[in-house]
Amino acid sequence: MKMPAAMTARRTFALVLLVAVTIAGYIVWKWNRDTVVQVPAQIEDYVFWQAKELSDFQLIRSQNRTLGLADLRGKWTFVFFGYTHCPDICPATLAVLGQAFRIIEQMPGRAAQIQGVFISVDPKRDAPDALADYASYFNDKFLGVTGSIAQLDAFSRQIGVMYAIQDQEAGKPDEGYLVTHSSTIFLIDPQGRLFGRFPPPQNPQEMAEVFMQIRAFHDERGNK
Amino acid sequence: MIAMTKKILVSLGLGLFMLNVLAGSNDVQVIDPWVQAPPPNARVLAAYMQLKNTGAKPQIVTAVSSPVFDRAEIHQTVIQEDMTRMERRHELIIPPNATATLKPGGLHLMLIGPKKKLQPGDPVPITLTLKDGSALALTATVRAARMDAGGDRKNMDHSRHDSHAH
Repeated sequence: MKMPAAMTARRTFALVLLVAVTIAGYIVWKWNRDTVVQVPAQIEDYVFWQAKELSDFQLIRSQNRTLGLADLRGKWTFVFFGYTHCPDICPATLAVLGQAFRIIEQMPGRAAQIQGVFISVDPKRDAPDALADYASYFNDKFLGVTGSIAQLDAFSRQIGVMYAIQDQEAGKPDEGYLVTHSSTIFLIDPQGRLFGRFPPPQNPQEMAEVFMQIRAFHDERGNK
Repeated sequence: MIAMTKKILVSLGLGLFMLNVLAGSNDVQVIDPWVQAPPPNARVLAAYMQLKNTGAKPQIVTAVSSPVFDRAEIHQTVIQEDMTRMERRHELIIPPNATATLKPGGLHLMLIGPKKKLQPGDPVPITLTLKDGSALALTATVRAARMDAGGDRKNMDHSRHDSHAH
């Protein structure tokens, strides 16, 4: 039995179309699977939907050295904003982060390259040299940095946080004003991208475990 | 003889009065007072404790002082929409049969301008002045901060705690 030529052509066309649609569907599915972030449920509250590339910045550390984006590459950096005339939440948060670092360092597997950066948003009272001593008291992997208001504004805007220095009341001593700041610890990946966040209340064991999961997730996605 | 008796009675009276002032005629019991060990270059520190009111009347702390610091104030750390700030309180009210809890990430005494270097284990005398005019003397111990930041995990709204600051 012989089919008319027109019918054969139509059949071939339908077959080709079917194959093409199947291939296209597969490509879309694969692209979707590879690019859309599938964040594990345990860390979805801590990881940004899309890692944010940071542009270079300049902050001031001890001995007139600067801290820039290049200093964050190759390490996981935990960033916390505060000031030393903050007696309660700042030392408490730094103590928690310092303890989390000690737990992370004892965890099995590849050694974690980590550092902490305590950024004082009170440059008038916090000199970089004093800040370095203050920060490293909580953990020897902590840096203490600050900068001019313009430098602090530029960096905090990139991270997406605000801070506010209260007006100093006339006649009051230097201790007389307070600073409002973010209570979140931010996580920057070894590529210099804003990758995660630890909102309060923070707990050292939980932070350490979540960090290890974030790092595993980060490395699985080919970000080594 | 009469003069002697009078003297004894007066000193006894004065002694009892002083004892009353120091121990507090108030019904406030101080539990576990401590001062966070100072990081290098820290010009302000925090003191924490529990203040238990065993009486039937509210007790109100209106002032704080310590001979080891220039000044002391009552402060509350407030965490709201990811912003942390401190607010000064002029009164710390302890309702009858309740306990005010001063702890990291919440209500605390802010100690300003240390007059000497403090080490873990050092005693820090603190006097709380109550609204009825009585004074409550206590001695806090310097120690390293506890390992939790950002207040109570279950209840972020500090104002709803058993501690009351207005």
